[in-house]
Amino acid sequence: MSDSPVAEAIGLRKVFRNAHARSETVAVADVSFSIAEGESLAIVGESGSGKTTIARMLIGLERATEGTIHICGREYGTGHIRTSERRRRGRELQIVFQDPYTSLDPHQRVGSCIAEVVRQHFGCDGATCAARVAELLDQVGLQSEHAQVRPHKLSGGQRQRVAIARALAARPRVLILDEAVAALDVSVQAQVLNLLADIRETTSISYLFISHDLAVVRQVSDRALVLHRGTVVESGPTAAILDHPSHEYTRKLRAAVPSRAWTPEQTQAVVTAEHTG
Amino acid sequence: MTVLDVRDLRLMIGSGAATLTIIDGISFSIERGEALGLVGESGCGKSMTARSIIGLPPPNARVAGEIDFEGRDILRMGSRELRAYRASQVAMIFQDPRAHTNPVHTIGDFLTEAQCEIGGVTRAAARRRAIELLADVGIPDGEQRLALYPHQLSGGLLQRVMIASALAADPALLLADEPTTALDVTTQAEVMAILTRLRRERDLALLFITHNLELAAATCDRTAVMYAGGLVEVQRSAALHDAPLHPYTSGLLCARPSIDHADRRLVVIPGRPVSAFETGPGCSFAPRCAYAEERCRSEKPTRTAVGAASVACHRAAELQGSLPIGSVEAAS
Repeated sequence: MSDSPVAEAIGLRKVFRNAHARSETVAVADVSFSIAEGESLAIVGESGSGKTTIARMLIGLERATEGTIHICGREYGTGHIRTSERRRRGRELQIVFQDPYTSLDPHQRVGSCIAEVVRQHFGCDGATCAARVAELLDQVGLQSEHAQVRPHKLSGGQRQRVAIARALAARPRVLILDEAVAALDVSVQAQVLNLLADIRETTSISYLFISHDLAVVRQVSDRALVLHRGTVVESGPTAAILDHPSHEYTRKLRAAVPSRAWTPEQTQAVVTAEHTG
Repeated sequence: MTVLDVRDLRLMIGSGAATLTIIDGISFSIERGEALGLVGESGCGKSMTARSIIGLPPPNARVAGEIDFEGRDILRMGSRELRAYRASQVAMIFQDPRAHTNPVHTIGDFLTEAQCEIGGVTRAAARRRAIELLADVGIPDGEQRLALYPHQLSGGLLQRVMIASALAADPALLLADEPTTALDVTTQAEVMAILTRLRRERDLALLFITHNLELAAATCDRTAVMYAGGLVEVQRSAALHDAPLHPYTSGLLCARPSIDHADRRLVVIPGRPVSAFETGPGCSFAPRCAYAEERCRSEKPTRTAVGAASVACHRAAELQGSLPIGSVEAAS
């Protein structure tokens, strides 16, 4: 493990301008974090907290209004990016989205979908490429026969495994998982969480794990940021944050998770604040 | 008093050789004032159960068995009687309130339309009632809210409006199909608090459908666990959590990560959840079950009583008390 972080964001800010209403929405106010090699950092927050916007800024789908992003020691600028640079970034940072029903091309066979990434990045010949696809399928717990099928033949859990295999095909240093297990059934979610733990044990990959689910976050992350309305309200080791939350919002989030002795409680103040107008 | 008594409910989709069984003979009842949680993974038939009870199965479905609401079988009701039953005795709330409200009509229209059409009350009286209902679900400034459109409300507020609308006709039975799944946890807690208070105040029978075993356990008196179109276990919620009787329930409890500790690996149920039409001759859970033996693969178990609970498992008696409820690391 090296001392310099594989991913670092400093002072990230994203403001969406609504020209029609001449208003501005601050999606991300001021967020900084760093991820060491092999580390798993979670970003926890409810809808609208800005967690997906952060992921989109990292992979270049959204341009940061302010702030800098360094991945593998290089700054990811937001201006024009050459193809070679974009490919290089692809080998550094990959993402798995929430919904494997929309993130896979329904017309493309699983094998071809993964092979495409292998060829793009490593330009190997047919046999080497096929061997690598088989290796990746095996790594995510699928059989080599799955290379021949299209996504509609697969269950939700299997599709998400394909999405993970496709991301790993580029041998990234950092993998962003944006609510990657949220759409899965409990029994299948546990399998994918174990898979993610296995991948981390056998490689030096780092995770940026974005989730609203505190129990899942506890399972997969070393450190966590709690995001509320675009601002980090609390950060630190995941276990410490969940066992002894110091910020009021984290406490509220923690208390809202149903458990054995839980009774739902109504907070009156939210009624007016929640109105989105 | 028993409000709902479902006996051997079956639901098949399609016809001839292409018939798919979705619900494979389930029975349960709900008393007045009682909340029954119906827990299962996707495709197990829990939503179809609710749609059968409200008399709105998909058009190509056949429903068999008995669904007795206050002694009358709704599967044998005429269309006029069924319409009256839906209008005033049963109500349903759904996962996505935005898909069940009309975006071009105000909240006021939504809450007063049925009252005027079916209840025959004046518009002014319906408005007053709507404001009361909104206050009941924790929306104090109802007068102003009535003029708003669905897109002007957050998901949590709109779900409260849905609850208000469901309660407008004073039903005896409320069906809630994953009503908080699309909501944030803090909003979920608020909506559940309102739902729990209202059902207690009004002595409602509630069928609460969810995939979240913890949520069902925390808010329902009893929990029914559904797998592949059948009920595998019905128990008091508190007992279900501490001493599950069916290996599937135990598997679900173990597979869910804990907020209190991290495990190196979660104890998983292998394979994926299946639908009723994908099962073989034996126990539908046998292919994924760690405790399955020869008999489980050839003979379908029927649900039998174990004290106050019931379970559909051949090995229930020998497994009782030994099924894990969390990971090994948590227990040590």
